[in-house]
Amino acid sequence: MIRPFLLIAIVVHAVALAWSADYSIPKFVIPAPELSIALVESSAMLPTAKLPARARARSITGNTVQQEDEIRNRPQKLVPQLERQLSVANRQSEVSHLKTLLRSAIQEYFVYPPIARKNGWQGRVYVGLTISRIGEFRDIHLVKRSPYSILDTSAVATLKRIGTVPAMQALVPNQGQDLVVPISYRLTEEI
Amino acid sequence: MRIHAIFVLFLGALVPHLALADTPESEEEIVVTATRTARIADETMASVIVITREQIELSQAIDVAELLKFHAGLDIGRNGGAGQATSIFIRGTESNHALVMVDGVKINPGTIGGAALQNIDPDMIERIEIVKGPRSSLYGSEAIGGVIQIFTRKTMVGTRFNAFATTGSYRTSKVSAGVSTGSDTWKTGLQLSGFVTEGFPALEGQTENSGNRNMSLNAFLTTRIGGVDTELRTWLSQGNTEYYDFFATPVDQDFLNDTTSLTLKGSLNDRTASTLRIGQARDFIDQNQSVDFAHTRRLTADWQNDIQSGNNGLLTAGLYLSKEFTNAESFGTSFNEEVDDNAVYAQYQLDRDRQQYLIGGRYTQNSAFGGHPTGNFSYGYRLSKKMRVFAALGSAFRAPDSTDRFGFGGNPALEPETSQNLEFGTHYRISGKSSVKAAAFYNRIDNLIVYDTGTSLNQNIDLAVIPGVEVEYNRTYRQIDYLVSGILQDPINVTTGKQLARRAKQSLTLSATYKRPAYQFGFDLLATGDRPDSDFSSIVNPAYVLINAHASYQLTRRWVLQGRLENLLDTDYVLANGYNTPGRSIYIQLRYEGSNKGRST
Repeated sequence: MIRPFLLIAIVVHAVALAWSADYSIPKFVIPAPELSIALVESSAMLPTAKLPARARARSITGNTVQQEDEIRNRPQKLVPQLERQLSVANRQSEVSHLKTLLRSAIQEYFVYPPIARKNGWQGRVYVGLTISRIGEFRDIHLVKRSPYSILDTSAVATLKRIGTVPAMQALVPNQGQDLVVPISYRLTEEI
Repeated sequence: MRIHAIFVLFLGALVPHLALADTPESEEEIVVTATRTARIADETMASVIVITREQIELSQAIDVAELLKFHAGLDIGRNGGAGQATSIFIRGTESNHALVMVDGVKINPGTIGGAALQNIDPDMIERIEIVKGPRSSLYGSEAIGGVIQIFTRKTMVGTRFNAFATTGSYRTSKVSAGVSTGSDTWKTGLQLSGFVTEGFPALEGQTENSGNRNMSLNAFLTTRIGGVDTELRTWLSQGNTEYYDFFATPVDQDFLNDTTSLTLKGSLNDRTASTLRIGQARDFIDQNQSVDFAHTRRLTADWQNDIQSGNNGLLTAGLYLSKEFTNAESFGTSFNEEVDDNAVYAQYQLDRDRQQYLIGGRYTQNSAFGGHPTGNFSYGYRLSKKMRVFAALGSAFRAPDSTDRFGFGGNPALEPETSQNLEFGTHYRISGKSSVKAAAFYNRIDNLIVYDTGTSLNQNIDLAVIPGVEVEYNRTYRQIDYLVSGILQDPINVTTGKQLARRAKQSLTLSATYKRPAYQFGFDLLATGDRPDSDFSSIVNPAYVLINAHASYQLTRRWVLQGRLENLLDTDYVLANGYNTPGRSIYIQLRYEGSNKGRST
């Protein structure tokens, strides 16, 4: 009597499995990122002819590196105020590059602490850190706590566990980069 | 568990607009999300149904049984109309194999029968969570078919009022009003309802209507002082139900169901959470035309500790103490008994990227029968971001109640009924708006207590085996929410060879609700197969289709007009042979909800 029901169960599962077209395998390691954005040396002035092929790809602001370089290397007839704005904009675009890369690099590492999930604890924690020249996370510390300390310790522990993102090297200035990262733990309703 | 970090912002010292405000920084932060787990069970490894306050208000159900009816796997049996004795059969198991709790306090009586679902007013309810399958490790006795956890009302910051009035068929009227207020640190509320219905004759061929009246109350006070969450809650339902006795004489009984609980929750350190709940539940029935009565009063203390282990593990350990006083007189037998049921339990859950494990166990020491261990083991696997599967193995039990032991055919030497269950489930999220769940289960229930004519005593004789398959599909498409669910099960008493009474082999439910900001309407359909009426006859209650419809219209920001049409097709269906069921009936409701800030919730 059980057999027909087990058969039905197997059929139902097989149908559901076959229906699932999504077999993406989550990343367990940081993959070598495909840099579709160029290395940008903020202080260097690179002759455009010698840029490597990948540098001709588009940056996050939509310009090719070539265009960005042209903007940067424009004749100095600009008003100082405009120049300042441009340098801030350039800096921002570099920070945006950092953003994009780091997001893909570390997002998989954050885990919602089971005790917080079970008890419905949510909150936002601000963690300060320094990314060194070689992409190492240093001086990880709490800047602002969330209402539940398990979220704070989990965020700090996750960043410590990640340790280094070597692919960041290219985008971090020599002196390193100080950052404050807001990490928000939120619970959602299941469909 | 869904892990989903979206963005990282690096605010370099060079960038002028360094924003550390509390306002959401949507693009500029890592957002770690996870699905909120139902308190009753982690739905990634179990079959869980959640019914929200919004759904309760839309359905306009008269009582909890009406709310639960339209979910496959939950069969409802009832001897008549509103207020009459109601049974729930989860996945084909007995009506006393469903553990029902209100705010964490068990309300099942210590005497014969299941929980008094007919007396629970939906306006006292904030949320219902149901887990199907054995859960005795965490919840103890009666959790064989599943556990139903009812959470009473809560509130948010601000002051809110609500009031409504209903009128409808069978001279039914209901009024309800509530007020709640709260700040970040404390909240309090009170909800009161009065319900009366003239009803219809519960028994076929009779003329006197079997009415029901019910006064319900829910009050709560929650505070957070010094890191400790304190919650004081009470729920009460009392009234009178008219029915027919064994000789078809119209009689009536007074009832009282209440729970009161004090819950304290705090953390010793960031990795622990400790909850202590002390509660009392009462289930009183007093028959008015005879000396018969049945009173249960249960005092419980439940101390549960969550300890996070590492980054992915959660250990839960608890101690449960319960003292139950049962006092009854029925058909010439009477008893006055005290039963102690104490237990230690623990559960460990590990959540990794792809795999989840859960293992739990409970050891119960009961003054009626001694010691009894139960356990749960579950394994979950995430095949992809959209699909996961799980397997679960569990055991559960039902302690013999005082009627089994001292009532008619009473046998104090009875052992608990025991069960073992194996379940496989999948959950496939097709898109953000649709998903499908399927489960196959095999439940084996042994030592079922039945009256043995040979020894004139209740004995642990019977064996029931219930294999089954459930499927549920839900989807939101163009403002319409659809839910389709079906179950195929084979509930058989192996000892007698018969299909278990009042349970169907096939059941299908279909719900569709069309939602617009100003109005909503929808219908619920239930189609269920033949059900044998009882173990003692060959009568079969035929298959039927039942359709209800409901509509809501937002008159103004604070006023809502609602209507409900029950048994649209005027189906003459039978839940219990010889008992009537409601015909086509209509109920109209006017609802007011306001707050002191001039904005409705």
